[in-house]
Amino acid sequence: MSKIIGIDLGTTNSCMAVMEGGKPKVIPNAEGKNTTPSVVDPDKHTVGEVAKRQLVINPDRIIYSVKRLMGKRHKDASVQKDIKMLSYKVVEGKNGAAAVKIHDKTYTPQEISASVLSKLKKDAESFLGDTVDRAVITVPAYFDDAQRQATKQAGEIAGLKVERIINEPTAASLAYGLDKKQSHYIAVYDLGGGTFDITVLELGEGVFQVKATNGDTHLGGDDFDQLIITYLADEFKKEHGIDLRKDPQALQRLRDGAEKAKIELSSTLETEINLPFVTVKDNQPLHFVTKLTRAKLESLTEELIKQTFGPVAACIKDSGVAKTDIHEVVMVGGMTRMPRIVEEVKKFFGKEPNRSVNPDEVVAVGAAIQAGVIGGDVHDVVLLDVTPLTLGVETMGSVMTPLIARNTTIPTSKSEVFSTAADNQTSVDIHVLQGERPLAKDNKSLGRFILEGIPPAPRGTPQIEVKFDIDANGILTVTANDKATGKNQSIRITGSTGLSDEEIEKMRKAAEEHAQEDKVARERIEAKNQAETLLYTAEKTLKENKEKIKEELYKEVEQKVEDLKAVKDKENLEDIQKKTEELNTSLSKIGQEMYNKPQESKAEEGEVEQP
Amino acid sequence: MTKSNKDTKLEELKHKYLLALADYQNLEKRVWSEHERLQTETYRKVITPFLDIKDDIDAAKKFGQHDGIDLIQHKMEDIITKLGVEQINPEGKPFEPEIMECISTEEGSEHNRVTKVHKKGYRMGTSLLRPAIVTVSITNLQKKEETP
Repeated sequence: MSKIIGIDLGTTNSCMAVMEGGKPKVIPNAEGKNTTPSVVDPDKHTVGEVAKRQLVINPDRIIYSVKRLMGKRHKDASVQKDIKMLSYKVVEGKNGAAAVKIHDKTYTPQEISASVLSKLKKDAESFLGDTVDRAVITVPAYFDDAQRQATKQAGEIAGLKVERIINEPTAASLAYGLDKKQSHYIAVYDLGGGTFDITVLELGEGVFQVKATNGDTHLGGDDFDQLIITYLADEFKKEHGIDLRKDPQALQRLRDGAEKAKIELSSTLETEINLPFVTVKDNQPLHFVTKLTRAKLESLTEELIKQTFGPVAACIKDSGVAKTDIHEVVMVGGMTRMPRIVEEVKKFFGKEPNRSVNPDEVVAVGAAIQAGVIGGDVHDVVLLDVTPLTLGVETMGSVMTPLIARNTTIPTSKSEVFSTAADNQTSVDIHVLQGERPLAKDNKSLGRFILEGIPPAPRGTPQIEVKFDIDANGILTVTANDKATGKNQSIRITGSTGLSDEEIEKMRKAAEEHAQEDKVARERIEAKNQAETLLYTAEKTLKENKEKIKEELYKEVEQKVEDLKAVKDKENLEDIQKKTEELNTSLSKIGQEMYNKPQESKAEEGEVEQP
Repeated sequence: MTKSNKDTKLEELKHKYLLALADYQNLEKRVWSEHERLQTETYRKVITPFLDIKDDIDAAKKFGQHDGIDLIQHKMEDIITKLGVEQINPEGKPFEPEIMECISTEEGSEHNRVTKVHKKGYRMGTSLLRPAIVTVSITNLQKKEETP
């Protein structure tokens, strides 16, 4: 069965997404970008970036912003206003509808939008490796029936069955899962490339109702860019008397610089615009280097930001919903990344807006979720559980050794081989732990058992395989198996994922809070373990090779062993490390000495860990 | 549970299983192509900012010959070529929107030809890192002749 895709058919850019494995995924276009410019060359059948790049050379042939004409009549006031701004010809088509004329051919806005949708469809098909013939398409909340109908027709011309037309603000709310809560009011602030929309919705418990919508159809990110370019060009002109806007090459570099600065100032407080050799005066090259601060950008664009709040206030008033009754505010459109806009929205509504989903993609993501509901794969997704916390066992020095990391999708299993910590150890204690802390005592103990009957052997020799197995129901089975004898013992723990959310959160928080002291404690234990291993090796080497080692060296190593023993249980990490290092150096002298003598002697060492 | 109930449940589960399996197989296929795409994207992210410096060097060269600048330019070109990046310098060639972006036009004897390259373009294999930024000629004269 083919998938239904969600499409945000925008005025400036379009975006698409699909539900996959129960999660929405944005589909990149053939050029590898997540958004596609809604620009069409109907003559050459090109769409997107390639069409947009010819806008300057073929202004009468390249169609952009056709969404403004969708389902409109030629005589409509808005169309008459738009005609003045659009570089292509808008004519009266069938039944007085607005249409586009290129050379001798007339195209309906539906046909132009269909070209955009066709490209999206084709790119989605090649991405998904499957035919795509159904879609959910979004429209602004203020679209009337004729505009919605036109959008639906555009889909059909493109070979897409339009399963549903949904409002952009509704889609954005769906992307945040706000429909799952009980019925409440939501405001959606959408500042895109060329339009601004504000909508108040009632959403939840199957209710999707637009209470009011408002906006400015000619206000967007492009206006912000223009202001920055004007400011920079004026600055340069003040200093050098040259207007960079008159030189296309310099203007292009200025435009790139302004856009880069705008983006950077969303995350930094100051940025540098650095354009060496930007122009020439009296045969001398001129460079443009200037700093732009976030504060300056904010003061430049203050008016534009203010302009959005007129419609916001009007929309709230029209909705009849008190500002304090708006439960959630959702941000849409690339411009809402600007910290000042977030701040102003927060100030106006008195609450932190939702903006964790990419604002360029949030509408398409919501459309995909709606598509998923229609296609049945949202309701019915098999929600595979994950382990909320890390699972592991206690090892030498009371350390928690993780086997299954938190957030691992279950069912899963994992095993690791451990060994004994002492010579002739015949049993091991398997202590199963859950938590994020490095020390065993700080984690939750899920259970413990003893594996007995291990044949006596030097430490590190036995091989004990510990296996963790979690089934789809979250039931954990831990098995320990002595590889030499095949003896095994196991424990079944039912509560491994059944912690309450608060418990999980508490444990995670504790891990974060204690991260530093835990690190120190862990390092100390590791140093101690290392010291003990080395002491064991050293003593064994001394014992086994007493005759072969020079007395002087023997005494030296013996002394170092005593030194290390004296500090290994103390708190001072540096001391332990230093003495370990010293013993290691002396010990390696024995190795050297023995290698120099052509005698056979082998001291084997294995991994020494005690489960 | 009656037999027919069981059958329905079985069908439903089978359907879900097949869906999951299909999702997985498609994912598997895509992981590879996605891997390639991500690699190109990573290259694009790393290389593109350096192209900006190369633009500066190109711009500097317009203000007279300087051996040192030539050497830097040569070094830079050498590095990006070794990374598999190909330069697009379409001066005098017909305008191709697939790899060029037109930012201005000027009257010329021939229609649709690149008269100035403001910024060179770059591609890597089939992927376009950045289009060349150009001025293109248009023949307004022709139009005038047509109109009486």
